[in-house]
Amino acid sequence: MKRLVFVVPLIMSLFFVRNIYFHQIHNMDSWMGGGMRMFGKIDKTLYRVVSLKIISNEGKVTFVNLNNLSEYEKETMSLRVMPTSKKASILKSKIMSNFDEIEEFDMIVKNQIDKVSIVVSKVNYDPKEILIKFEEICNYETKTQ
Amino acid sequence: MKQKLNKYLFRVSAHLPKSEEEYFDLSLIMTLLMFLYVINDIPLYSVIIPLFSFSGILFKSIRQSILFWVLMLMYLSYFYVISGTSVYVPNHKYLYAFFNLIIVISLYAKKKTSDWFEIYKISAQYMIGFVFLLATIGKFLAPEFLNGSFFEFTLLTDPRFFGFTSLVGNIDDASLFIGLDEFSNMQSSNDINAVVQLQSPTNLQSLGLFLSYWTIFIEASIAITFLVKYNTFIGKYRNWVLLVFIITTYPIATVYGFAILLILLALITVSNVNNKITWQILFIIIFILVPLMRFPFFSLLKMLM
Repeated sequence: MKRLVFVVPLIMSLFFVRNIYFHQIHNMDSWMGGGMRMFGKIDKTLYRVVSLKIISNEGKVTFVNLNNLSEYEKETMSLRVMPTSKKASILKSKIMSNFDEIEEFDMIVKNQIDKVSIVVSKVNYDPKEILIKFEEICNYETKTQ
Repeated sequence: MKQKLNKYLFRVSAHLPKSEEEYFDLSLIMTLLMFLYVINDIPLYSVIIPLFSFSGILFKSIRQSILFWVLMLMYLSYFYVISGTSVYVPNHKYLYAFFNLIIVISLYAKKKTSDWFEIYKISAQYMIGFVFLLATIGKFLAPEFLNGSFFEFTLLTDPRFFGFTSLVGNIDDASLFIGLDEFSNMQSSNDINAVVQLQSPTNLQSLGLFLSYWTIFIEASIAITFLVKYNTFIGKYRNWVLLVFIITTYPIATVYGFAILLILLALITVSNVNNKITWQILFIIIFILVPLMRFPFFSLLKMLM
């Protein structure tokens, strides 16, 4: 019966190992997933940005920050926690089906789009320059046709 | 002075639980109060959690029922543990489910063995130990933590630290908030190549390194003291180490949800330590005072200087 005291430490250790696996393989935010690795890395969900990268037939590249679209908050937050191609594909389908209704896309002509990608970026801090910039961690690209 | 304090402690101790059963019951009430206070992330919780918590707080037979805690465990496991890679769930929310599991295990053990309270107490002790052990190992897996740049970045971009940065780094709040505004704008910008140049205090690098190694030292100390037996040389200092951690961490990094759980777990572990009554009273007082963490202590200190 006294072995019951090891149940929770064992579960916690499993979540810790899972956190390392998901972080290394699937770019999961190391603060997430119950791995107790909070306050360790600069990259965290709340700083990640999900963008729609649109490449026109003429090669013009436009980024739209999807974090600003509150109607897709659930999907973008999920991608920020742990990006996967499945999550990106669901978000892309939803956005493309409502493309004409989204104000942020007013300047973009839908039938002139060649490729779209869902891009997830993290924050990168350069301690020498005391500079913050973005770094792309995932890019799920698809042809529109 | 000491006599007066002892007299006061004696008077207060009359109101503390006497038996293991009473102590366990008090911790269940405090758990439900904690859930009411911290589980409010989505509108559904503000309906379900009070339903559970109010009934448990008001009726002893409900809060002592294993079925009640199994239902609560299922609820927390689904919304926090299972959904944890799809929605934003901070680590301490997982801990609510794990602690709930300890309660279920203890209620099960209560029916089977007279040692049930020992299982409850040691599980809480190991939970604290493992939280800090894993957190310490995690920090060794993050090069940016070890070279101090994590804290450099945090001191300049996390407003919870601004009071501290401003006080110790001798930099004005306004510069820090300008940097924060630019950083926020960058995150909502459509320009993926945007950069933000931060203003920093001259001693930023040494501050970052000091905070990194202090954090590793204090977290590793908690892990070790809670994972060894109480009657070993270092085990006896576990509550002091935890107290130093709480005092030095939470006025700055105000993570209420984790702090309140940590205090509750610590309270459960002090049922047979030296100065048991003092520690019990202290942890109960800190549990009550947790909302004070929202108070901007460093800003006040800076205003007074």
